[in-house]
Amino acid sequence: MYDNLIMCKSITYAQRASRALQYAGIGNQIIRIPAGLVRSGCGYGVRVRANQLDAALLAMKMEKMQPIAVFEHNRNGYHEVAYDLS
Amino acid sequence: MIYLDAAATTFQKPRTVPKAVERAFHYMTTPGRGGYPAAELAAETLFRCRSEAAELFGAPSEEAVVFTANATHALNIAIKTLVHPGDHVVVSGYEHNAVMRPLHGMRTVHIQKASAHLFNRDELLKNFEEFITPDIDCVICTHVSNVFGFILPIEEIAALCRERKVPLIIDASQSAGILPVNLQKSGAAFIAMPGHKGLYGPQGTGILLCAREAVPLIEGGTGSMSASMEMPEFLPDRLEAGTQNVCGIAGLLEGIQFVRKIGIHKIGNYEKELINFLKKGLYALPELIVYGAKDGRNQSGVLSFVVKGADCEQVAAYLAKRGIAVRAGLHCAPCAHETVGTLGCGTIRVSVSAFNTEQEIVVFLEVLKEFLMRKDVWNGDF
Repeated sequence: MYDNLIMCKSITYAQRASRALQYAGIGNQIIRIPAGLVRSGCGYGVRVRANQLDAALLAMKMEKMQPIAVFEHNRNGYHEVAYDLS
Repeated sequence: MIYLDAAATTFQKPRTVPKAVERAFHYMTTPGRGGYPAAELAAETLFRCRSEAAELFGAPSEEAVVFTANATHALNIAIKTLVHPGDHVVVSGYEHNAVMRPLHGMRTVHIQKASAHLFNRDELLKNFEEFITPDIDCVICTHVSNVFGFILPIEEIAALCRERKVPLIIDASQSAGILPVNLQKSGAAFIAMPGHKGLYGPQGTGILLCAREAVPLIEGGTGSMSASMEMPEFLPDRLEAGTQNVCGIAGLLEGIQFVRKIGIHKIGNYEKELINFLKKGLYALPELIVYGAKDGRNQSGVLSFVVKGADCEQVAAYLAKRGIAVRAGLHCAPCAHETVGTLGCGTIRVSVSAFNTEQEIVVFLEVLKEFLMRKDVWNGDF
């Protein structure tokens, strides 16, 4: 259902992001980051639909929130994508 | 039992508090670690508690709300972050040992006490004005004296610190949930508070509101950045090593919601009314020295008195025998007793919460009068 992943620096940050997205009407789910994606071990992120990724990043930007990384999911798994918040 | 020791711990809690503790005990595990429902529920509960606290105390975000074991733990983090050996610190003459012992423990810290007569806010502020000079590294001040209920002019002291660019630590142990406390408006570096007093949470809960980076008091697992041997740089993880007190925080969440629902002003005013009612009764007893503010606005729901010629512990023991819980002695605040001149004898402290009633005060006064009439029991022989 949710196929894009916004990586956050902590669970509290992910929870704030999740709430910001909810307020913006963007469905999301907090998950633990797959082990292969985390850079320093253990992390949390927010999963959103692909067609809502831009809106989700904008909603976070309006809350002055910065993701650590953004991943897309396809049949080969997750791969990091560049994102532009300017 | 008539419980009049709310300044130590509020004993009567909203019914939702123990229920939440029990629910957490049965359905929640470690927050911020697992991805299964019981761990997620725990994490969600902690986040909701942070949110409620952030809104109530003007914290910029949930991340500025750090859970601690109590106010002492929170004060230790704040003090050990900002104060170092050789530093110059200004404190009020009404501080608790939770402030004074960490400072004295550093041995070479120069402590200046901005003192003043009890309930004299102007004199106290004047002394702070004089003491806060450019060579001061930190100001630490309680909002309300835990012994006398003296409400210190914390907003004015905070304004002085902002103007002179000196970091301020506020000990809100006796004011959180009773008086307005605001991290952003005050400009304080840290505000420490217990969860088990005016916020009606269980014992073992506390909060440190952080407006700046802090040094961890303990290090360990946080469920984040686990491959690194360093503590995370970001809050709240940086200060929350180890599994949090989930059951306690679940109860604290309900306590904070209760305070927000009733309203801080309503609770604070109710407690002041009870203390004013008590004061009238105590003033009528010539055997007592009562430490009451002439202007009721300067005193919270805490009051101290002594019985001339009687040991304060014997008075408290007699009251306890008759089912009334008060606290006698130095209340872990010799600094405040020294300022007021009661260090040698201590005082009997009565402190109320939103759950006390005028009727309980009436019974307390009756039992106290009984004690005063029965000099045969003043030596503890009862």
